[in-house]
Amino acid sequence: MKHNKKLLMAILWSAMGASLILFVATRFNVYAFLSIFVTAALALAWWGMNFPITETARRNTHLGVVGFWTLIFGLLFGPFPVPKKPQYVVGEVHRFSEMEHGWGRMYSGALGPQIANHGRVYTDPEEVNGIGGARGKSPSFVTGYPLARALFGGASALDGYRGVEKHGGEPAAPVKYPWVNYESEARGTKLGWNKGDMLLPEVAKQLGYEKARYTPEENSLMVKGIGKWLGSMDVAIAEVDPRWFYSHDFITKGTPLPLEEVKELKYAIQLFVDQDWTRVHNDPGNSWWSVAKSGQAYSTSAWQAVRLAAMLRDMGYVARVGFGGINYDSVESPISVYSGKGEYGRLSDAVVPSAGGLRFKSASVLTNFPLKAGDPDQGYGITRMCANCDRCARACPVSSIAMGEPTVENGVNMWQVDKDKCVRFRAGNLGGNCCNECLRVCPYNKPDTLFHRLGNYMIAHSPVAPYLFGSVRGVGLEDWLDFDYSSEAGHVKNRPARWVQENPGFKMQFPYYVGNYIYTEEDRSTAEAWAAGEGAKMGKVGLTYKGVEWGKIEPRLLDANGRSRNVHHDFEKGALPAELPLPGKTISKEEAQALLDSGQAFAGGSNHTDANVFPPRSPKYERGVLTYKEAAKKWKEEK
Amino acid sequence: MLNLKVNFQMKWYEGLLWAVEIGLVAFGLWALVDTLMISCSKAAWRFLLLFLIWALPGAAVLVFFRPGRNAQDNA
Ligand code: SF4
Ligand code: SF4
Repeated sequence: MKHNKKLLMAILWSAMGASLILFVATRFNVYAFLSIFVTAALALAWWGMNFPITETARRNTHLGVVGFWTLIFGLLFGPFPVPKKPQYVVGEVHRFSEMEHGWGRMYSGALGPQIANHGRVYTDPEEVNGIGGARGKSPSFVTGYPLARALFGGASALDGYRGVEKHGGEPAAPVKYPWVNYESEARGTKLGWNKGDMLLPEVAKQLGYEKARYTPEENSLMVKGIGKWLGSMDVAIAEVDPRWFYSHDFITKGTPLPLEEVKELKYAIQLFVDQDWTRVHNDPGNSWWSVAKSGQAYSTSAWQAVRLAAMLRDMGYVARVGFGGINYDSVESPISVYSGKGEYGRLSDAVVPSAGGLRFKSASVLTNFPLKAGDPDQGYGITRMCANCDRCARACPVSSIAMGEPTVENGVNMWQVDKDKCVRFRAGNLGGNCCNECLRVCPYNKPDTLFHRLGNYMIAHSPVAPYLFGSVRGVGLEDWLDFDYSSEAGHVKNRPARWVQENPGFKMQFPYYVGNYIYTEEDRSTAEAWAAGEGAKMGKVGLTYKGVEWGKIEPRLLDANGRSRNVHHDFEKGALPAELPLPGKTISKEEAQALLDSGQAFAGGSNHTDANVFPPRSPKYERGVLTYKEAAKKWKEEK
Repeated sequence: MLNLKVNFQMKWYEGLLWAVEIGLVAFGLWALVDTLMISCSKAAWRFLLLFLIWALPGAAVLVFFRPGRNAQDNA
């Protein structure tokens, strides 16, 4: 009997040891992890029940367990210093052309005709003649249903109020490209907040006085207070680095944006609007409601920024507004990063913990209103977390998010998203419209409860938490807990992703001339062969990674060659025409050079060689290695 | 009249372990409620389970690891 008890005792301790060994051998499997605790409890219980225990042994085991949890508590909640934010700028950084970003390339046709015509492949003839036909256009993935049209329309309607020419006392009339600032009659006469110069009461309390003195610190507190009052989740303030300004504009298809014209714009105010937890949680990219989330947050943030800017202009300052989808003057994510509100995450966008991680859309006001910017060095441990968490990369239906380590592009060392693949899926998703898989699965995407804030604190401070929650080199609790399951909407299934492909063998012909812009060989998409079906598996079908298996495409959706047909799955009425028109045209190299030399057309992307950038780059800001702080300082001194 | 007399004795180290155990369960309950409130029922119950599993070794020590209870068996 006694022998059996001892034997079982040995088995239980061995089980615990085996769990420990398995835990390490399986690279921190969550079940091996849990098994350590269960087997330890069983072994301790068996020991206590069957063998003599002395008072000293009881005390020591108590203290052992207490000591263990005190250590863990200290490691998880101790005020360890937040890891330093990486120095992202490691090389020469060029301004980004708005024609170069995914949407610019897709809409302009630089990625190929099939995807540029995504609207046509997206619907059936009845719809083409219906909702979109009324406006003479095929409904696109954005405008394909009334709510999305209403929301994106709400943003577009505000374009005239971004800060352009005055019109009846209001900056209302958009010029060809509004790269000029609104000059009011009262320019030079600075007005105060109100007749009594009274501060918002909470700002007054914080500062210890009630009447405004218009110091940068006070101005910042007021702008933050007003921004949040308007509905922003948080308000970021940064000193402008001129490399954030796009070099060429998208709406007017390539108009250059000279830095000389915006020298007054020294500060960026960024407003964040939530895409809403419930909608993001319940509507993945295949819900057919998906794109409306962007429209909601774009139009709401636009409206907030337009009103904030109108107030600043009335006070006598310059204020320009940038908002989405495509009405920005500058790249948004560096504002979030260098205002001290976030860090670049694996998705390559800014993760902002106070705005649901990636769940926001932002709008910005660029101004000369004197402000005190946030601390650009303020970190949140996001880079460390992302290094241990690849949930977004695993979730991405087209593998456009990098696994592994950050890399350098355009002089910036960060994770780089394959924007062409992402945009091709978002515009050409045949099983839904748009996508939000990456931001949906991000651990930072939770409602802003005290519990979630505690989690964010741990991730920022604790050297252990990223390994506990992340799965790259850790336990992967975030995976195991499974926040993806919504009790309101059920489980979001991994799905066979299908998207609009180019015809087999497709190769874009450059130079490609569209609007005022010429795309050259340097703009060729690295995902071009993939876009034409080479090696493309229509998503991750058949792949398994960390327990996630990607399903098969139903046979009825495949053509005779086993490839997914380039049609919406409701479209059963026949094939598309083999050739679809491009919005621009291919021209000869000589023609292109003549147009560029004569200033009739423009070109350039951040990856272009200097000789292929028209107009030329700024020697002051786009030569050599200039950190953010150096560039912002120079810009501030610029008269 | 009912005369209830409760005799409760605890060593200082037992008090510490009780505090740890109560803390773990309380944390689990907080996680459960917070996560149910955001409609993640699966994560909510798993969160609670996680904390209960973490609390198991301490509970085993509190309940079973006592002098005297097995003396006659094992003497
Ligand atoms: S939006 Fe979708 S396709 Fe784009 S990176 Fe995120 S998960 Fe991938
Ligand atoms: S999902 Fe993970 S890796 Fe991706 S951005 Fe969020 S924390 Fe970083």
